[in-house]
Amino acid sequence: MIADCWPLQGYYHATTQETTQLELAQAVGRILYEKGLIKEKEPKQVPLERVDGMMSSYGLPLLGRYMFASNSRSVATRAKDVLGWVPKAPSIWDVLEQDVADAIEALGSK
Amino acid sequence: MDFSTLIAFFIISSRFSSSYPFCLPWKEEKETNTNAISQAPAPQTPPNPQKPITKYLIHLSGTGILSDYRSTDPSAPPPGTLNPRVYSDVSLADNTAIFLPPPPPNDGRSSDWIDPLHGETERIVYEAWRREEEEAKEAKANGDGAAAAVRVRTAIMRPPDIYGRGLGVARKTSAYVPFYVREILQGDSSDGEGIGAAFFVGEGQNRRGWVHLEDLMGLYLKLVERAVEGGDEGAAAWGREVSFFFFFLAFGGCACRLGR
Repeated sequence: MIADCWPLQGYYHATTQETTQLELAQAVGRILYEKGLIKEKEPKQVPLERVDGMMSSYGLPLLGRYMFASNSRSVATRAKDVLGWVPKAPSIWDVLEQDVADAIEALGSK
Repeated sequence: MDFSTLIAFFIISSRFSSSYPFCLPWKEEKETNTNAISQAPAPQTPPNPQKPITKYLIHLSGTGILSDYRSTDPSAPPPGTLNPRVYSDVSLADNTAIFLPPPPPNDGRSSDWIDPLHGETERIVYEAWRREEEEAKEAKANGDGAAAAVRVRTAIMRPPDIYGRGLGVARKTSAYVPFYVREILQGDSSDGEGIGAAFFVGEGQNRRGWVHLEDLMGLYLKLVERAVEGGDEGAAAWGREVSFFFFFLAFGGCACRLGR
């Protein structure tokens, strides 16, 4: 049983939920609007080229596309079945307001 | 490198150094390949072939490797749309097909393979597994009881994007939300402009997975505790000392030695 943790194919995903980009944009937009930091509550569609040019200073081509326009979908079967992992933390929707506040604070201190 | 992975590395290192205080930074170059896995820091007692020493490698990768953002598959959905492909961690084919390039076409054309994020490092770990498995098979065929004096057991952790705060002294910001907020408010160069609104591409139906930092820590600790308990069916010689390697080829490595 213990050796099951470390077989040849010992991959571990850790996914607990998924969101679409639109759902995320709606929630973040609402939070920033209510803080008075943006004028538009509703999220905006942007062209792919704009997103492709984002985060270029990190030196990874199309990083912005990866972050904002791609799918990256996984399930965490092994962690639950083999290790008995039970995720219990709050959902992203429960903590997003705090994460956005932390992000704003981090921006302000730069 | 996937940035949630990069941030997770710093968060995990600081969390682990508080739980497991004997943490030695250990520099590693990207060019160094599987030699680094087999040339682990020497244990205090000489390896005894009758009682193999087991080392555990928990390699931190990320679901960047599963992203379709650079897919060359003509049937892949365009950016901003839903891709129904979901990767399971219990399917070997699922997991290795991603980073093993297909054989080049016979007609002399060059392959249009693009290495995914984390592809090179995952390939290195995979090849180390394969070699070890082959050596074990050979040893069995030759009638050797224990194949090798040092054995490395590996797990590859692929966290998705991370949200939420950690406990203790870990940083409060994780990787995704700060980048998104910055692009909305500021843009990312000195003369850049933020979008001024939350944004998406196409229909915004592309999906990504998430994990709360605390849940990710919980999973990591479970793996570490299993390694400490022992994954060694027969031999007991490893019992006093277990070395953990958190192996980040692109940004250096950290070797944590646990004395028990």
